[in-house]
Amino acid sequence: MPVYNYTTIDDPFAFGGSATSAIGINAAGQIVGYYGDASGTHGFLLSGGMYTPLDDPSAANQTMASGINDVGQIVGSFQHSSGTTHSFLYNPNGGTYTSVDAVAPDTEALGINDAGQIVGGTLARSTASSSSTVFTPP
Amino acid sequence: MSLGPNAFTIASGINNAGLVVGSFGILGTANHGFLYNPNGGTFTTLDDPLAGARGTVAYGINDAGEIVGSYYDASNRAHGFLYSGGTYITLDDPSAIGDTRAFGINDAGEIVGSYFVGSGAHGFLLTITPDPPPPPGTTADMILRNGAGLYEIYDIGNNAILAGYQLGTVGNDWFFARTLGSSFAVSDLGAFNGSDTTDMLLRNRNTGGFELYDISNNNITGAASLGAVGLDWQVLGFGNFSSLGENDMVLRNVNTGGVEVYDISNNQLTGANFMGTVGLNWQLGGFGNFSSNPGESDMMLRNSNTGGLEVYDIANNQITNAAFLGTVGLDWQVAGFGNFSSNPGESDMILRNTNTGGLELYDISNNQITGAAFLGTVGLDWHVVGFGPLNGPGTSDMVLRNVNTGAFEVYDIANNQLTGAAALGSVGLDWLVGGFAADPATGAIGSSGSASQLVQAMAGFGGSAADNSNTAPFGAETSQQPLLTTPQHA
Repeated sequence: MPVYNYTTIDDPFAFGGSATSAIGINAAGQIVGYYGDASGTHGFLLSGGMYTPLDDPSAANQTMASGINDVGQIVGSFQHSSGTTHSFLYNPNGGTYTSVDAVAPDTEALGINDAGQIVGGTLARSTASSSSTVFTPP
Repeated sequence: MSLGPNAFTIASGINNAGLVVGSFGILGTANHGFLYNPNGGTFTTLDDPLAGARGTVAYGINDAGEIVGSYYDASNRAHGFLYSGGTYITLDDPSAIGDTRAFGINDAGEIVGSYFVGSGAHGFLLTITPDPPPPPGTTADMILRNGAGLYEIYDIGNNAILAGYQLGTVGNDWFFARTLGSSFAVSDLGAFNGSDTTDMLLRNRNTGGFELYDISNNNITGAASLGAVGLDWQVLGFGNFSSLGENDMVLRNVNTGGVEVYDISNNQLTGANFMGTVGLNWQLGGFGNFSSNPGESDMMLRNSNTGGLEVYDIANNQITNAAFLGTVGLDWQVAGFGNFSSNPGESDMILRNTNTGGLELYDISNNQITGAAFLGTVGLDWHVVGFGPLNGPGTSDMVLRNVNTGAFEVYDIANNQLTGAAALGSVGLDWLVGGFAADPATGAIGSSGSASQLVQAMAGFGGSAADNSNTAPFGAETSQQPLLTTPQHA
């Protein structure tokens, strides 16, 4: 039978050590996700055993990292102080955050492939039909 | 993608081929995962079969097309899943007290997700170590056929079934070529296609037609019609009779006793030769390398009146020599041939007593019986179904099957002795054995086996693959019983 080996991932900054989710992994084994602490939700990058917090500078303490490709580019979403949800593309070279709100407000970017194609959805679930999209940021 | 009011679609993951996975649903109804292929714009719905009313969501996909996500069971607890090779595998972190969800998977098959202990969330990294692949080209595989004409192949190594695969279905008028008109187990598999791996020969029981199926990597990769031969010609067996290194076929006329050899190469009949006529009181014992000439196949016949055994050397499609081995009482029947003596390249013989179930091994070399050993006694409800290198390379092991339960047992034989036994599992009795064959080292029948394929194959095992009753049905009897009379003439 195949052997299933589970290793727990708890961001050391997480509130009480019990508010971590791992969402994406790339070929190098780099893992992204988010954790919660007293101030809100933050993305993280786990690489080589080190946890690095990811907070979009525009975020109101509500950042989540969802996808990472083999180049190391990371996509995620954050909540603006206005209450709307926006998405970001994080480039590890320079540590820059780029907005990828290509569709509408309340956009949530969830996945990215090596070509830089990003998938996600809008979150207007309670009002009308929402849509998903694949787009390549400029 | 739009489903109408109160509907939602979220694309969650994308791989380098552009395949997108995500989820959709209408509020208040079950969620569904989806797989979107941009080539053609097709959507495939993903629903874990264990999902309850809240449904399934898909989160991630890797370049191998493996998909992870989660489903809610009937009590609304979330479980992760891995969808691979058409099978949903449930993923639950063993530390979870509550939900587990799988969010991402990379090209190495590593999976990340989260699990809950009470209200606290934790991430996890899951690495799956697959079963080791079977040793390439060294151990035998088994082909079974069921009453519906479905064929399955089982990789066997280390005395265990390592993986199984469905080959496909062929109409019920087609059957294992050798099995038509035969009474004991002989493989219908051989390297007919010249170069590669073991192939399967079927015969139409109405027309006498032959059809050859190439098998490679546990799939039927080609088929060819060889033509038809009248049904008064029965297949005796296969071997390298042409001295070309490939498997050829020997037919015998049930009315005249004539023996004909058919060369098979590159999936065609490339030649035929009439080898002679032998009286009908001489019946086939089997084929093997009895002459100790490297790589050649010889034929053994047995006299149905006297029990005498005669070997016919065959080379270049002709009978080149004959040798009388001796006489054995008719209550001893030929069970089969294999290399039991551990002398490389030689074939030895096992006889079985029809009254007691006793098994006797005869070491054959240079067309002579050079030794004999009593192996033990097995209940008569266990039939010998084949021989092959099932445990490891080099020597032949014996497979028995219980005619009442369908259970398989394998007996390791080395240096003319039983060295071990193991239960292989049970298969429903509507599954008939086509044969056992080991491929050359360069082309294993089974070079890999994923978990999903294993699950699929075990469906053919009647739900009873894990037979732990590894009880050797052999009696403790060890007395040597020399049964052969002294050879009377050469």
